Amino acid sequence: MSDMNIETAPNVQASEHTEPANAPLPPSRKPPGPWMTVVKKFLRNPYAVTGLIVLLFFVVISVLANVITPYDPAKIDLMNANLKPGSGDHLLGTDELGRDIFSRLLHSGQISLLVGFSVAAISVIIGTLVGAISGFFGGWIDTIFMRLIDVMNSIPTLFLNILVMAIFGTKIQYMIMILAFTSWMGVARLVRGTYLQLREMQYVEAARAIGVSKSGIIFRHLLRNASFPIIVNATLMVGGAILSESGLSYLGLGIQAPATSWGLMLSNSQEFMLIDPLQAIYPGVCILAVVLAVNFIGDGIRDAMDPRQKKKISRRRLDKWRKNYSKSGI
Amino acid sequence: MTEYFIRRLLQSILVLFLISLVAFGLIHAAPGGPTQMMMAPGVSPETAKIQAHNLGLDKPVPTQYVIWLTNMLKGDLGHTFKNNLPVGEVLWPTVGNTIKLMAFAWFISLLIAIPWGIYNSTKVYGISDQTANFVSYIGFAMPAFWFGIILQELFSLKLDWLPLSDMYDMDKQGNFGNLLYHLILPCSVLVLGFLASYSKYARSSMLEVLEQDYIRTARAKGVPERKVIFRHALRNALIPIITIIGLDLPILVGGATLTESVFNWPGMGRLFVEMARSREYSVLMAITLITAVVVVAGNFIADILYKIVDPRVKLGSKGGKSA
Amino acid sequence: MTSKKKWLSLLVSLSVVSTLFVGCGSKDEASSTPKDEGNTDSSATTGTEGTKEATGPVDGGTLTYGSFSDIVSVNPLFVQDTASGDAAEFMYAKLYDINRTGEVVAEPWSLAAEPMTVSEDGLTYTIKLKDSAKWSDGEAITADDVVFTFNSIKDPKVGSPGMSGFDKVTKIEKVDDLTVKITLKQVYAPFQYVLSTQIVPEHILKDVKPEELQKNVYGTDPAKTVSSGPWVWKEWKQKQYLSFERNPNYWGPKPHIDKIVYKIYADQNTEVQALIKGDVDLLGGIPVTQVDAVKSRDGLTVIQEPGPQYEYLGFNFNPDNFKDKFVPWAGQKTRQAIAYALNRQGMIDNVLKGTGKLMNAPFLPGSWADPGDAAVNYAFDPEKAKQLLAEDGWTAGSDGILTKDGHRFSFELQYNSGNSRREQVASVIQQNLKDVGIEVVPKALDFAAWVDQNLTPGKYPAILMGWSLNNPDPDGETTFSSKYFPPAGQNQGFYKNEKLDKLWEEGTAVVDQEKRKEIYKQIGQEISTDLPYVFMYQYGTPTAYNSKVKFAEEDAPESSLAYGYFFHLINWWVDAK
Repeated sequence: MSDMNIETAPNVQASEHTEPANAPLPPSRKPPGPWMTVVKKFLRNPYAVTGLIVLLFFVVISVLANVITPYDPAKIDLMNANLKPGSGDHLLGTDELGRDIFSRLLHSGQISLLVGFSVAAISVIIGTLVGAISGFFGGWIDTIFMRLIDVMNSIPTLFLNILVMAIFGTKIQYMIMILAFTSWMGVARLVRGTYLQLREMQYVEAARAIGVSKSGIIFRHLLRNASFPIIVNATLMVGGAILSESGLSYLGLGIQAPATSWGLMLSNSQEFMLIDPLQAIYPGVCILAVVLAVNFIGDGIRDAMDPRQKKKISRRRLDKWRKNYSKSGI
Repeated sequence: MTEYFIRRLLQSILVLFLISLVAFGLIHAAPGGPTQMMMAPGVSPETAKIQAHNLGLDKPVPTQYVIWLTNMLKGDLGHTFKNNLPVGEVLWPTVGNTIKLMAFAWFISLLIAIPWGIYNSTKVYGISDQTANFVSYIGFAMPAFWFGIILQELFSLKLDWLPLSDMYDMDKQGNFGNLLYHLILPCSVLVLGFLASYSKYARSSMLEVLEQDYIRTARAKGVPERKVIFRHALRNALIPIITIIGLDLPILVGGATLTESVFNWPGMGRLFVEMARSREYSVLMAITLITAVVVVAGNFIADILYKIVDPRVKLGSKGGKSA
Repeated sequence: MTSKKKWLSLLVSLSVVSTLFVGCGSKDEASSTPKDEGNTDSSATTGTEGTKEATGPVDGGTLTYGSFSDIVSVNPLFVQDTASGDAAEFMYAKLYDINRTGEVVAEPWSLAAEPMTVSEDGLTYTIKLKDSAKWSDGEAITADDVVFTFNSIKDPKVGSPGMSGFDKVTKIEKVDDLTVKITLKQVYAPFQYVLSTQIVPEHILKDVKPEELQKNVYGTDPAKTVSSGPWVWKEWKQKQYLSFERNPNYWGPKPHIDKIVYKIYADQNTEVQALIKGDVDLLGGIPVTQVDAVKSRDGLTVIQEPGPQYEYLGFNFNPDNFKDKFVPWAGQKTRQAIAYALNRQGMIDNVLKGTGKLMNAPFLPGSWADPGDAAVNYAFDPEKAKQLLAEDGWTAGSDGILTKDGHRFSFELQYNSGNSRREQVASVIQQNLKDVGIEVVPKALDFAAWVDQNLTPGKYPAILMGWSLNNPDPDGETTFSSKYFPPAGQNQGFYKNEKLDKLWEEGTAVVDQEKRKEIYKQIGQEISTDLPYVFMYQYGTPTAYNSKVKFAEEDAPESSLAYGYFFHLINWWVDAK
């Protein structure tokens, strides 16, 4: 929607692109496990595979930044400022302080991807914990956590981020933490929902009847059932966090020099538009590519998963609405 | 039903109360506290003390909270610290400006998204459908402020077709046509974002309807396809689309902070950023609380509506207790 | 860079030194000549103040100025930020004005009728007002208004930021309706600049309790803010614009410009784009990185002269700020070595794009107090730096970083985040010092929090910071004297040099400028040898205007003065469209 909620996971479903997974399997072989099925389906989705390749590409070049480019991204070389792309060893030229732009892009990638992945990881941890505790204990603990989720969902995320960064200072740790603290709710709901669903399952009752600990069963199945949706959620969060980082950096509340990130490089794009538009384009393209890639991957996994997961909640809601309205004859 | 209504209402009030605590607590947890944040450097300690007393910042924090909350409930949003302006006077005009921007963008998005999504549902995988898919991916992955800056550079500075920023030209304050002219660029940025999800809503909602038995029956009876779509399917698909999208309205209040900054739109989001920088926390708390009220009220109404329409809907937290 | 510029404006307005400076004499004529594209005004460049050439100025039109922050309050008693100060410049006449060379004078548009008279002993100042001066509501401006204003500033209950300027005042008396006499308890030469101030109307504010003054609507409500200047405040659309119209009751020479619009933008880049687009006629703060881009546009002129502010690398001498209470630059030679190691000219050329001037002492280059060659100039010389460091007992450690008595020479350099110039200079410093074996860890901090938690209490190892000088007197006692340690004073680095302490006192205790000049020369020599700071350069915020803005040469903007971008605005005119 608006940039207000850029961290919301896209509602995009790429299901149209997946071919029906009805390739016949040789009957003699053992049927593949759920992971294998998903991997196979995933690999048949060209969008998802492209996304994966692009993401891996960016991860690899960011990690190997020091090997790929000889230049220190913060190294100021006033004698070689504002070089055109391709001058000497400077693949994309240098900026107004003579810093190698290509090298800065690669090192920016490190920070941006670090923010993206750590926000996703922390959110998943918080969300899983909250969801599991909420589902396991139920009662007032559950009520408290659910109200907490309501509270978090009712404050515009960007406002909260701005507030924390402006008041507590613009440290990268703070940024990762506040981005994570404002995006765990989806995972928590998901885990809690799966937990409640599993508790009612007959095989759980059966397992309990033969003396297996109920919670042990539930947690084992919980992980099995919830892991894919969590992964999907997490992938989409990576993209959201990278976008949020760029937004905060644009407002001057993000990464601070001498550290650098794509968002920080992009935050100067208004200025570069007048001087050297290409400098405004590079980091934007990187963000666009990586976020597209993770969204493709997320959608790819969702499509490859258990078909039960394909139906989204909003669709179910829609369904209810439709039925009721058609019944009432409007 | 009444019991559900009351319980849901109490819950909403509890959530709002918690939000007020979060907003207030966050600001008071700031290093140095609000007193220090407000004081200009170089002000002598005695002056700082006097000013703090004038502003009521020397009272214990819980007392300040109670005073603040009571005033809020009375509709008194307080005054800014730096120049003692009534917060409402600062805040309400920006809310109006944000609504102008968002409502326009939202309206345009619906105008495009619904027909487009419906058309795409009839030609699944067609060029138009693929384009819509592409647009939504881009809409989700593009940093909004960057897109805005590119549009400005292109259409305002290079081509000189459209105004660069602001709501009105200086000599045309309040002129509606001039406002529309200034709305084009910022709205384009927002519309891209809205389109991304709304055309998907419209498409999937329509697809579900088209799968229904009565549509198949109609087709089997030989009703022309055009009539099937417009007479039978559309009517049933539109209601949920509009309802779902309507429930998104609270998001509009949150505004478009980055878009407002890029286009110098005097809206609430920009106000929030500026106030966060200058630490006018009476304004910050007011904005946080007002947006929260709108969002919570929106959710409340939505839940009540669902309940009225579908008695099977259970209260969210009930599942936990039923074990 | 983007919207972060606000902090820069905060910085400019909040870091007030009670030092005065004389405008720099060397003006770049080329950049300050008025723009006269085929216009008849080229002949209008001579003549005295107030006179208008028949072919020159035209009355009417609107001047639009771009700002990146909104006002707080235009009440002169409380103005602390640049935007409010700008607005007050349009609305209020000053008691005395400051001319291009930094002297306090009574202009035709000043409230004072004649230059102030100072008694023989330097303790009594007498101010005579013009009998024609009126408030915008028609009331006469009298000695009562002046006495009321000064008493309010002096009253701690009011909380005026100008209070410290009056701490040597013992008596403020009304002699007659147009005469005010002020008595000081000791000779204080900079006091003349304190008198170049705006006055508030007693008849409006007299019934407001002192502690309520700041909360009063005077200063925030255009309709209720009675003022004394050429333009009156008409409208304030918050976060959008302020507008000012010709004051119908104005008593001075008639201004040419009909209406002034003070437009507010979200950040500096948006503002520059608006200038290019033509939405804004005059812009006071162009980021140095964009100066070339702006200059290359047709019809835009950029004034690049540095302004009344300088940047420094400030050392802290309080052992509590260091690990093991070891102050690495306790030795004078170490500080000098750091000065030698820094390529200051390189920074001016590349980071500041030539919009700065080297400084060796806390006196603006070209001002009357500038000690010139008497101050030691540390030319970029890494070899000399290494030699001095070795003499002071530093030896290279295993990692290439110098050590002394087991302490590694590594320190944190703090500066405010979002200031691109400082960011870049910090990186250059880091690199320059690395080349001589000193490790610098640059650390960007949010301005407001930084000021509260580090600057004001003096809790930092080293800072990259600037001082903005809001009047042209060279006095720097509150910044460098050991009498002014934090939290009371501005000597945030706890620098102590008894010789300087004494000299600063002497500098303000004589009124005669020649005698003062001699004292400041000694200060310049001593301070540039002992180095409480490494003085970096005088810098500015380039001003740009489009071809619509016209002024005679003697009314051109004057960068070296505070609010110099509105210098003699009353004589400017715009091409009416």
